[in-house]
Amino acid sequence: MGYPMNFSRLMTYDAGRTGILIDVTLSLAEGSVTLPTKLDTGATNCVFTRCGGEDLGIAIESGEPVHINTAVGSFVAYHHDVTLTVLDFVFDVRVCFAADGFFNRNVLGRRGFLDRVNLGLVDYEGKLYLSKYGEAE
Amino acid sequence: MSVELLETIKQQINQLSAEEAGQLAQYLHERSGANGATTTNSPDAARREEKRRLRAAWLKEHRAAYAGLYVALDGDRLLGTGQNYPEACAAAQQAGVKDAYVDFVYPADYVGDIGGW
Repeated sequence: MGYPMNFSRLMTYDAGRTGILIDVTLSLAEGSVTLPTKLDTGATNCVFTRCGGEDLGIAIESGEPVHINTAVGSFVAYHHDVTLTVLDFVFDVRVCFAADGFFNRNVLGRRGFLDRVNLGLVDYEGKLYLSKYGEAE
Repeated sequence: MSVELLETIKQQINQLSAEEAGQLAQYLHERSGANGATTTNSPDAARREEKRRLRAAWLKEHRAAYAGLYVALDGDRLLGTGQNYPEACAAAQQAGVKDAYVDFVYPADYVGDIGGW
């Protein structure tokens, strides 16, 4: 028995790199910033660099603080409401911006992204299939 | 660009396969970045900002009551709640709002996790 799924989008990524990198655009009325972001199914949240938030004009510490655990400790980030765009899918969501400027990666996790898409992955071929949850097939 | 040409392009896009549509989306996305299109002053952007402001105030006021749930909001109007995104989306659809904001309400003591590190 098979379990077929249909997706409306297919994007390719470089399977030779250290992560599954997707261009994510964050925007507010004042402007937008596009950040190379790692897809991370082990992350509870979407987390971005402090620099990325500041480029959007966000005062990072004005958001609600949240602690995020990692395998080697924890760090503080702040929630902010932004418009997140992946391919042509647009979501108004709360994402986290790291307080520490040394946090140097962007992560697409569950809350704010994976919780609202259908996703398929063929890593060997560098193919990522995507649909918005509930999107007409 | 004329309205007719735009409609023709839209019709052609509808004939693309999923893979071709994905490539087109990627191209348009890269093109907007290459043009340095980093400001958004459209009426749609202004409407988004107003709704963002209204729901931020609502979320701040009602956070404790709805912590741990997904809420569907239209500005500062609660459309419904759910244990997950699909449930809250269904509530928004029932209310007849297509572009509702649906997101998780974080409890005050929420701790996130990045497990892969």
